[in-house]
Amino acid sequence: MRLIWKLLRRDWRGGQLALVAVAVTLSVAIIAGVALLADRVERGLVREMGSFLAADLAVRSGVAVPDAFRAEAAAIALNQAETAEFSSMVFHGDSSHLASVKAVSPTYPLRGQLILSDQPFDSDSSRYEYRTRAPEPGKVWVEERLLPLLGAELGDFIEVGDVALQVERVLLQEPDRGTGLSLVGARVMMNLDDLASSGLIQPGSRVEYQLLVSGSAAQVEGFETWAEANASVHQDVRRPERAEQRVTRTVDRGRRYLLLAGTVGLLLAGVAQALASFRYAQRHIAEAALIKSWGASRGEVRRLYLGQIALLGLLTALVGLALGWGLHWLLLAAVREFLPVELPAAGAMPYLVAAASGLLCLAGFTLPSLWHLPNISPMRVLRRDLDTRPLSGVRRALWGAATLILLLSFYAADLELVSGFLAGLAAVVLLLGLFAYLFLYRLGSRYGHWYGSYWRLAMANLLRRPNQTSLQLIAFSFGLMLLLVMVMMRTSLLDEWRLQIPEDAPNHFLINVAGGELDDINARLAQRNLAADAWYPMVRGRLTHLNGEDITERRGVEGLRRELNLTWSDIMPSDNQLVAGTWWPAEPSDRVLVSIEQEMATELGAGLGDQLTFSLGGLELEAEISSLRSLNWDSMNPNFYMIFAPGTLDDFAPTWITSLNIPAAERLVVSDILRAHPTVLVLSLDAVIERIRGVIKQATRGLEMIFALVLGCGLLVFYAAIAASFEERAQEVAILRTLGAGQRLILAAVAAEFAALGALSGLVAACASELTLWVLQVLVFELPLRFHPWIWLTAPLAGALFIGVLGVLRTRGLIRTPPMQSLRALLD
Amino acid sequence: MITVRQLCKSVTTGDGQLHLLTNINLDIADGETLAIIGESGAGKSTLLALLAGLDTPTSGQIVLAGAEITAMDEEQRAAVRAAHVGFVFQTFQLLPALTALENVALPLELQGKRDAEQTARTYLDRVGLTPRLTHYPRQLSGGEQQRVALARAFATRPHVLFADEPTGNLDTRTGERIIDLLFAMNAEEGTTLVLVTHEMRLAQRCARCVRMSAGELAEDACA
Repeated sequence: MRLIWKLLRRDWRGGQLALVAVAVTLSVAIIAGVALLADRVERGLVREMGSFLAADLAVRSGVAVPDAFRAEAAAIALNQAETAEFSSMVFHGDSSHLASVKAVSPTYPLRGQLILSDQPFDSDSSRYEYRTRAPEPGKVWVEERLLPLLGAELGDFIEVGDVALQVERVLLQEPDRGTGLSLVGARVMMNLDDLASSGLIQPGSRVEYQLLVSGSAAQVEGFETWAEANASVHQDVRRPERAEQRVTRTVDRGRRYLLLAGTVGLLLAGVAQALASFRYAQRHIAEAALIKSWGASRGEVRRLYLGQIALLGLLTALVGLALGWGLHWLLLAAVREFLPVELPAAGAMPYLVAAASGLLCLAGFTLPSLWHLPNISPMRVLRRDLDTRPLSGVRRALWGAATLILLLSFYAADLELVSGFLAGLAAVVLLLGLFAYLFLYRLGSRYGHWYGSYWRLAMANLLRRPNQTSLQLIAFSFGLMLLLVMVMMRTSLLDEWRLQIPEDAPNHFLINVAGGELDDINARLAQRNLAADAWYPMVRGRLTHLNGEDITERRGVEGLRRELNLTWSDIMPSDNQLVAGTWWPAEPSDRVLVSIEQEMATELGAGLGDQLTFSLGGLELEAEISSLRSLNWDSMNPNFYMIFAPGTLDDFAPTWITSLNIPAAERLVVSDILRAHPTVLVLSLDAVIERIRGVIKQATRGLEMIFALVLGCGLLVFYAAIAASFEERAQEVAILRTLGAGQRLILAAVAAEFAALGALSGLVAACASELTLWVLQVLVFELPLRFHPWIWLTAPLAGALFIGVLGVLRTRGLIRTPPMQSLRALLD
Repeated sequence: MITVRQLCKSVTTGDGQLHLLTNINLDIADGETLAIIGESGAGKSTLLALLAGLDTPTSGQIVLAGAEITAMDEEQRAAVRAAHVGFVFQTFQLLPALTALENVALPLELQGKRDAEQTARTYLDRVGLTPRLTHYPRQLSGGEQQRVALARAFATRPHVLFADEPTGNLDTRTGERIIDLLFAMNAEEGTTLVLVTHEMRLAQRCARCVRMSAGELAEDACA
């Protein structure tokens, strides 16, 4: 062991291990950083997303939540809160309003905050109050639109059932309100203790009860399993991920990008390691032969090198873990504002995965290069021309690929997809590398003489070492391609995120507008230079039958739990896409046709031609499914599960709905509309939009940091690939200098050689990255497919410039070295 | 004692079998100094490699330090080399990343010797390189590098020292100094020396000479 340590120290001092060590350290650091970040942030995010549910888990129930649920939650020491939500008339003097009342227990909300104001329609958020407790008994917090509707002010008492409760604050936001349109009346939030004395809940009252719980992931998971098993048809167990799909999707894409970044970083570090290790092994052939000539057995030589590599792995893994730990703090600092104040500590798994990854990286990328050393004949001390037979490039590549797949299995959930992606990637790069080499060969042999001597020299250099040229070409292409993929995925993701909620995204919904009110409301909006996006008629109805079968008792179908908002339209909303069937036939039909959202159709098990029966205000309507649509749930526009053909709902008095952007300065228009049209409902999405923008902003910052790190890995690959031919290049330069070649000629030849390699690599990388992006965008990130014409020009140019400059910089030192010194160093 | 009987070595080439060594018989007594001389391509280095157990013959027998190395596999031959054999090469074979001291200490460390460094210092002192202990091979002249190689070869106290053209890369004067040193140390250590050279002056320093010619061996007068 002491000897191994000594040898390792000497190798390190000789500079032969630095590149391998840096590559391993970087790969461990990236994985540790990403894994620690993912582990802690994911826990934190689930908790943060819990604020969209006001809990880690909610049991919703159409009847009072059975005591068994409370008992089970108490048994596993979960925090609990309860809510009861229902519609009820509230009164102030002669005014009344059908409010949406929410009675909450004192511990509500368990996650997230309530945002309050002591002034209605106040757009200055610095004056808002943030609370995590329910209103005191005897007090209510109300939505601001209720005040003009009742002609009340803060401090007034309003009658809620049999009790008079004092309006203490304006309620601007509650965490679990979501963006659904089911809230018909203005919100009145009261203490659950006042509920009994109000006498509002009678047998048969329509009340939605919730038991909210929070606790550790394991506790919540245990309770979820129990609750799912014990839920009756009345109960629905909800996790935060389902509560706010828009944020979930953003976070999920961010997570996938992190995984991709980690994979790419690992891949690049692996390639750098493989290149550096091969060179390291080449430089140890003489040593291994010498040691064997002194009588060391094959086993001893193997133990010696394995020991060194294992020791190197342990040391670099430790350094990598420390760096990764630091990196994850840096990343956390970048996304701190968005994260919950207290992040749960990371488990041991990220450290283990990262350290094991580093060691596996060494085993997969470095050991194959060293494998032949123990088998080197001791005769080589006498005959330097003896063949050393290293493991073939194909076998080393296979080892590398197998290692990578093994590594990914540690921390990639979608192993099959990633492995397939990598295999495809490798095949593409190898094929294109071969093609590029043949192209180079033709170019060099046919046109090489047209140019000056430096170009001929460059071509000769490339062609004299076909193996090394191919290796460099593949390494450069691979590195460039992965970096291009990272750049473009990052750009694509950020663009998509930015587009998700543009500056002028609708931030208010106007609901329950009667047909006769449309003109006046449009006029009021126009006075302030505002306009509604589009008005949709809306009728509420419940889906009851599919092809005559009663489906109201079916569980797990979102659309069956409540009344649906039904609309009709002659044109399809712009952000919907037809998936199957046809939009309304040109000729009028006597059948009632409906277009249904595809996910709901899947949940229902319904398809084109199936008959759906709806109950609308006690009347039945039967409709045939004529098309399936996909919706953009990320849009802030009204979305409908069911769109009927124009005219089919004429018999059912509709109300109208629209969405529009109301800037903060124009928010008084809401008060105007509500005073003139008390039955109109206005929903503000400002808080939700702000929260989503916050998530996107922070996630973007995190991605940028990871990207910078991956870029570092890319540079390492380029450096390692250039260093791979360093010895031969040193000899060439020394001989050329001995023969009297000028510095300018040599540098020009080197520049031409690396620029040609870089340009070809760029071309290969552009082609391969376009294919890879196609797979990633469509299959992994579910983003629209885009062609990237600019990379076909910029990648070869950037490759030529970047690799050309790196090559020249690396070779410049050789030119300054006296030729004899170079030759002597090589003879050693 | 080294005993060689009916030793043959041939390799297959595109033109058929090429006989490198034919029916070599040789006895080398303990402490003897033997020069193997001959023209380039005569088979000198091939014979040296076989004697040292670095290569395997096509047929024949070699007994080195009481062990029949021709009946051994590579691992067993390695063990014999570790216990009994030292080398000096024409191209020095120093490891460029190690200092002079470390180059000499390395084979001792491989043998698990606790005082490797101290022994290495002693031998480097004997070859007059104490001021150069921490120098790397590239910082040493050819003669100095070969002196390090000599120190390394003797430091493990081998029974037999094989030297392959030890002055081939040195100028005449430096070569003579190295040879003086080699023979002086050999005398002090009582090592059996097998020296391959094409220089008669060098061969004459040995007690006995054999000449290789077209793969065959004959006693020579070293004259």
